[in-house]
Amino acid sequence: MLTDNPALLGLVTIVFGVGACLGYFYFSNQILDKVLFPARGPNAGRNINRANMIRPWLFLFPALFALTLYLAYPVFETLRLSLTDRTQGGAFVGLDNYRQMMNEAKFWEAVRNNMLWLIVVPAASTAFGLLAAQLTDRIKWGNFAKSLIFMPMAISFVGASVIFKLIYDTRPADQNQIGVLNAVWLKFDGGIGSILSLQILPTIVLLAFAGIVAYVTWLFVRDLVAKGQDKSVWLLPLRLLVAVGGVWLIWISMSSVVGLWLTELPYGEPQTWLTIPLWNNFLLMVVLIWIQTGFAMVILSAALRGIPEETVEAAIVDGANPFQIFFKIKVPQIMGTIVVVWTTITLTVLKVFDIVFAMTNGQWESQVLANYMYDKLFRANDWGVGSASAIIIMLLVTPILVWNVYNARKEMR
Amino acid sequence: MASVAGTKSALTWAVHISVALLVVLWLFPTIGLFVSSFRTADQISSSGWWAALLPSEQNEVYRAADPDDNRVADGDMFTVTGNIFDGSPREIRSWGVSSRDVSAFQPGETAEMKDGESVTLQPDGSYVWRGNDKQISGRGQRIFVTATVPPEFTRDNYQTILFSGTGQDNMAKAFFNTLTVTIPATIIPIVVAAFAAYALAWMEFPGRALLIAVVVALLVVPLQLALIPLLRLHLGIGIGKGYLGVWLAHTAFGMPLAVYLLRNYMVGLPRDIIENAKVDGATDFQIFTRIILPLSFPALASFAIFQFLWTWNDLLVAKVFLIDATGSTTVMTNQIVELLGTRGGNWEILATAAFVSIAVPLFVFFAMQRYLVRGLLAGSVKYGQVEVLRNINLEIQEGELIVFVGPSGCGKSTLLRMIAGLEKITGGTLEIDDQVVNDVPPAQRGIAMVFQSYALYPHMTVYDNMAFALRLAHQSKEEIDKAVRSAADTLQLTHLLDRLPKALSGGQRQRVAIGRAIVRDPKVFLFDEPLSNLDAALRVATRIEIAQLKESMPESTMIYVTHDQVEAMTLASRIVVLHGGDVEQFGEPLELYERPANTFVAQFIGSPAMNLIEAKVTATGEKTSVQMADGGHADAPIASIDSDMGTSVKLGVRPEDLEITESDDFLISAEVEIVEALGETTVLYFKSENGEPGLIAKLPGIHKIGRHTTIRMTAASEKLHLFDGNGKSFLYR
Repeated sequence: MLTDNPALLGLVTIVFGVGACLGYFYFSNQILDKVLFPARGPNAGRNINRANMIRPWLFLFPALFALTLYLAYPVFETLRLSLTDRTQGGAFVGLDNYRQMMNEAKFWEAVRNNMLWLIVVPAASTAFGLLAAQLTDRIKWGNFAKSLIFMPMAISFVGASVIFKLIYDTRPADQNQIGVLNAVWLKFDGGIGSILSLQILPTIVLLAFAGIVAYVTWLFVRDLVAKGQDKSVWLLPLRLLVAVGGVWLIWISMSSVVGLWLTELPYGEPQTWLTIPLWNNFLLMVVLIWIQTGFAMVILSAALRGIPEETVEAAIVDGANPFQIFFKIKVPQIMGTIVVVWTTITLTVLKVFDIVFAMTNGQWESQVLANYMYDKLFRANDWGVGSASAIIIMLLVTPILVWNVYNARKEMR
Repeated sequence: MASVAGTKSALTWAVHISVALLVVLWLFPTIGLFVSSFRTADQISSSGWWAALLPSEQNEVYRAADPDDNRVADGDMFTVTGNIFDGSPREIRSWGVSSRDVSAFQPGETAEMKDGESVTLQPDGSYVWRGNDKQISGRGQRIFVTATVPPEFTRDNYQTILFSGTGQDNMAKAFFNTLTVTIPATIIPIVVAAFAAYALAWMEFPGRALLIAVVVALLVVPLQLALIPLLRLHLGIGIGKGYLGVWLAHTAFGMPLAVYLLRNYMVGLPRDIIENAKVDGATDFQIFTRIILPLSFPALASFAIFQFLWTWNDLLVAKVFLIDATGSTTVMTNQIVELLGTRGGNWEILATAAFVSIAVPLFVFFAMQRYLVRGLLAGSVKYGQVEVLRNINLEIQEGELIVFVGPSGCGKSTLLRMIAGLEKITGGTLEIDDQVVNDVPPAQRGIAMVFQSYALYPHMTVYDNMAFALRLAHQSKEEIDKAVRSAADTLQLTHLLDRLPKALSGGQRQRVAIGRAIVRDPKVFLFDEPLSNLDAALRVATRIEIAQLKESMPESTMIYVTHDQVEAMTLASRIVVLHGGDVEQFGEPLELYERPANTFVAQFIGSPAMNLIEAKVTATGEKTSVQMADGGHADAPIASIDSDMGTSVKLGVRPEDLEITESDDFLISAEVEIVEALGETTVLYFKSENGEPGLIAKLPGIHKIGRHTTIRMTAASEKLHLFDGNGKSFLYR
């Protein structure tokens, strides 16, 4: 049978599908020009104009059809489903599904973890990407280095999960560790080296993080306090939001510093990393950061090269050192690109499913919204709650959606 | 940046090392998987993959051959001989005969045991076991060996995964399933999206802007929302779970990005080409297929790679729309996830399966990388051609305005950048204020520079642009404010201080750039073609402003680079003419005009350029006489020496010095080819012979001279110039 051989089936489909596609465009244009509105006879001029009014829609139809049916319609259908109950034959139940979801601890765990993902992954990927882009910018083997750092982009989330599961693998204490993380962990014995690299160094990193957050928060809040500045009203909520978020982050990092010095670390025992609550989230994030850094790097590297060379030279003449050139001249000029990269990675994070699904499946308090939704939809078969959680994801991306549309409209003017 | 004077090489090394570390860190996980896929299950579970590349040390136990069959009488003793390795030799580090001390002996030594029993083990593994009848009996003597085992790799895992494995261990079917999903799901959306993108980019119709906004909005919609409604739809209309459903889903989910990317690219294509094709009578369909598609290849290719990677690596869409209960249409990602569940500890299977699924995208990625990155990495670093400067020997006095002038590529900008410290000097010294500054970083040289494109920091206001250098130098707020306001006052920029550069006109930007230099109060101002980005009228006005600025700061030294001789002549106190990396002449403007040192300067300064006429020397001495081929003759009041007699020289005469003559004592006799009557002057272009540049005459006022008339011209003898065979002026020999 033809359908038994997938390769042959694929080939037939390619020929048929692509042929149908091209055929549609070719013949619909032919019919328009030759049959409906022929460009000859007494009405030639009028016919050409009419054909040109219809043609854009011929070109657009398949794309519009796909977009409407597969992306626009589901948004509303999912909204409707989230307000109905499947077991009651699709009866309207108001916000019952949302109420049920809010009462689940697993949902709040997913929300909390998603927040962590949203802060850590875009920040870390963009920072690493910017670092890699800047460092590789002026060296001879920079392009080679870039393609190696970019390579994980080609690896599937599932493949990356396997790669990192091997890294996090655990063997009993009396065997050779085959996971790198445990092999490194067992090198620490509680001596001075361990204290230096596991307590002092993280403390410095956390304090630096808190400092940066404090600085950024201050930049946002400063204008509130400052006099004489124009205080636009609609920026006020944003500023307050940033301020609250900043204080929260500082609180978190400070309490982590305290925790760092109070916890007894279990030296010498191999750890099953992915089962340690809270920490396993970060270990899963590493996978996505590893993948997304390359993306951030390539886009930011293009932006860095777009910076006029003369502004950099002018800054050198003005006496800026390499760090000042980077932070005061280069970064401000590519701020727009940084925001784009940040939001793109944020979108990827909101949709992250494969990594959690393949590595922990949401166990050990590592659930995220996308996997929670999959769980509800296809394991619990609860379409109502599943749809409700999908709507939550949609709500989370809505600010980015509005921002994108706003920017696109501005650009077109 | 490495070429900037005063930069530390330590920083460069730090950059190289950091990049190397970053690359290793990013490569490390993948290499782990790759190496593991070539190891056996035993190897993987006994040691980390990082140990696989080096020879490893292993403890092994061997037994001597069975004494009952193999012992040989040797006097009253018996011996058993043999080789413990049986054809696969290893390097023995140490060995022993007791489990309590496995490394008691070195290879070649003899282990003495109780009552004269002994074992000798050679490095190649051969042994001699000696003892009496009782000792050499029963089971063979145990020999504990610590050996170095060379790295060992196997292709068996791939054999299993691709061909011989059964059930879940065989990825061949999943591989083809993935391919079946991927290829149509990559090609179809490109075709559909390309047409839509063209319509959105180049066709006029109502609602276009709205549709673009919709596409941008849909870019963001998470595909999770689409799962349930679409699955219901597919089941409802009878597509069910299968390839058709997954193709449709991938086509639609990739569509917003495809339309968005392609539209952005197509909008950037030159309008002229498309309008020209329309005028030529092409329909939209023809324009699209013949012009747009070929030109959009980079964008099409980069989207194709994205879509390919995305569909190949996808798990969720396949799980929902494709894989049914029978599992016969499973894709590789799904099969790996299932393997993770059932064969979680069998890393040889997992690693190999994962690597098989990664291999194709990696290959595509590296093969097509230049297309993927081409659009993104457009505009690479300008390395600029290396300009070599030779024999530059200049001494510039305080308060001078020196102009470096010359054709492009002459090295004038390089020389300026060397003074600024933006290029390293490989030989010779540069002194500013009697201080050698070869290795002094730019900021410490007491210079300020105005760049060709002004190089204003686009994210800073005019005020901040001007204050930047002072802030870096940690000056007080009051001082900075005073300096900035005073400079802004001089340049009439005060009302613009709060603006960003993008809100300024070209002339205003130019003034800000100059203001930024003034506030630093430098010893030397450097100008790099500062007027070349202004239109003609503004250029003249700004030139005068710069001249006035110089007037108002008589003690400041300025160095000014230009290719425009008018700027050079009007601004300079002295001019340096550069050509091919050499200084051709250094002198005051009129000196260059009246006494050019060579034919290059003679022709570069003055417009139209000086006429050079081939001639032979006929008399030498205080005055020099020359004779031209067309009968012309001249006596120039320029000294020459006897050896010049009869040599070929060039007689130089400026077009504005020529006048019409009727007498037989003429310089030139030639046919007029073109007459340009400008009113104030009349310019005559003479017909040239044998391909040489034609002679030009510039006469004051209006002259009625017909084309193709032959006229004679002469010039005052003190206006003549003589250059020898090498182009050098007789005056400077």
